Amino acid sequence: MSEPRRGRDPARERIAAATIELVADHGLEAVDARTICERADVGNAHFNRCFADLEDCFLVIHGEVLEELCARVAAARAGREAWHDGVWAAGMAAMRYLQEDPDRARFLIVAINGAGPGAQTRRDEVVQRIAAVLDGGRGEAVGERPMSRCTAEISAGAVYGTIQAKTESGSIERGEEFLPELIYLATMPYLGRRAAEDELAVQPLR
Amino acid sequence: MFWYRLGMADSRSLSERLSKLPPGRHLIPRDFVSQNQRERMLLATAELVAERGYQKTTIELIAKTARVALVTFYEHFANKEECFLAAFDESVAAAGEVFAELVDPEQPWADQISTGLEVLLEMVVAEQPRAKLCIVESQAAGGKALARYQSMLEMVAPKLREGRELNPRASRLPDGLEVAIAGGLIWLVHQRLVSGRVDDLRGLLPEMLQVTLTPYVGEVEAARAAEAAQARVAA
Repeated sequence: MSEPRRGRDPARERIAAATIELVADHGLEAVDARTICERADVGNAHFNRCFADLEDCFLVIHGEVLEELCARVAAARAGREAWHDGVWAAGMAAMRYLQEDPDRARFLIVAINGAGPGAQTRRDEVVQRIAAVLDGGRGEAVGERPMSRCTAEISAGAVYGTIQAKTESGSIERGEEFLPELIYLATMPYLGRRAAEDELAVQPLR
Repeated sequence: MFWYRLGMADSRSLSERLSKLPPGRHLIPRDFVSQNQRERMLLATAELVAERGYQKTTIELIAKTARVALVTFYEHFANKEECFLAAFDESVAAAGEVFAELVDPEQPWADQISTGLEVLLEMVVAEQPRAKLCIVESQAAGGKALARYQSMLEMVAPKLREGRELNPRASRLPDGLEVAIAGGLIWLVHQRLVSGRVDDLRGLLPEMLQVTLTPYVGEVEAARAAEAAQARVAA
């Protein structure tokens, strides 16, 4: 297991930056610890002090990036009483974070596939976190049929899959442009067809 | 139950399904033997990958479980990935045949979607190892497998897209809507497979149907279809 972080460690930060860059470009299966150390200009011994192995390194750094994204999303949602406003704020914060650094977005969203069972579990947790936010829509649902959390899980899967496809195709740099599409997918089961379609006409940044 | 009505599910035990042909010299044609070996290896791959995950499944284990020699494995496949992809393709093709058989294109579109979802859920329950291979492990088995998974979602899109004719404002809908919906539905099934909660899978049909139909026919019609599905599930 990796050691907990204590204060600032510039060499570790260089390892993190090199890992993000290399894994985003080549995928985890094509990267090894030695290449990361060379890119980061640190010795193998330092890598081994920070991480148990390559998978540990990937998961720890992935976890740190994910927490940074979640903190941005949580800050954006804070104080938004209405679920619908909170979904917009969360979506905007997430898209801005992802488009800010496309390498980091690829590392976070694309490289997680095929990176081992721990990574799969991590990805499942990410989608479940999205589902937890969307599930609040049950309180604003227009229909009379009762819904369960399954609806949020379907929507979260649709939202995550769309973000993954955009990241993979390189269009995450224009993430804010497809935010209305994500909001449509997130709100349609709760607000209904017409109201969700109206979201597609919103141009949040113009 | 659509799946069983069609007689597609194999009621033999795994051991029977993996049993070798008689050893030694016999009159069974060589092609038949080769095909039988290939089928056993694909079946063994599905069983092993579902149980242990792709990464912990080895060529040696596949050969041993399929009761073939290692050299036979390499006569059919260059490596584990190729074998996995063949198992994926074979499973998706088999599922496609079942859909083609059971979903009547003359039915109203919403009924076709309802039948299609019901067939999907029944197939997943009846053939869990294959379902796990296609839905869960394909996302962990490298770039080619992931591309196959994406293609599987895209195969569903044209049928869903037909529903746009029922929405007067369909031109507003995002291009990627159908693949996104398919991805969301499969995600829900994925979660149930990962957590082993597949017994009540059929109970998800009404909610899955409601989400799928709403963009096209609106929430009122979608709720009506979901109610009808609920009644079928309860029956």
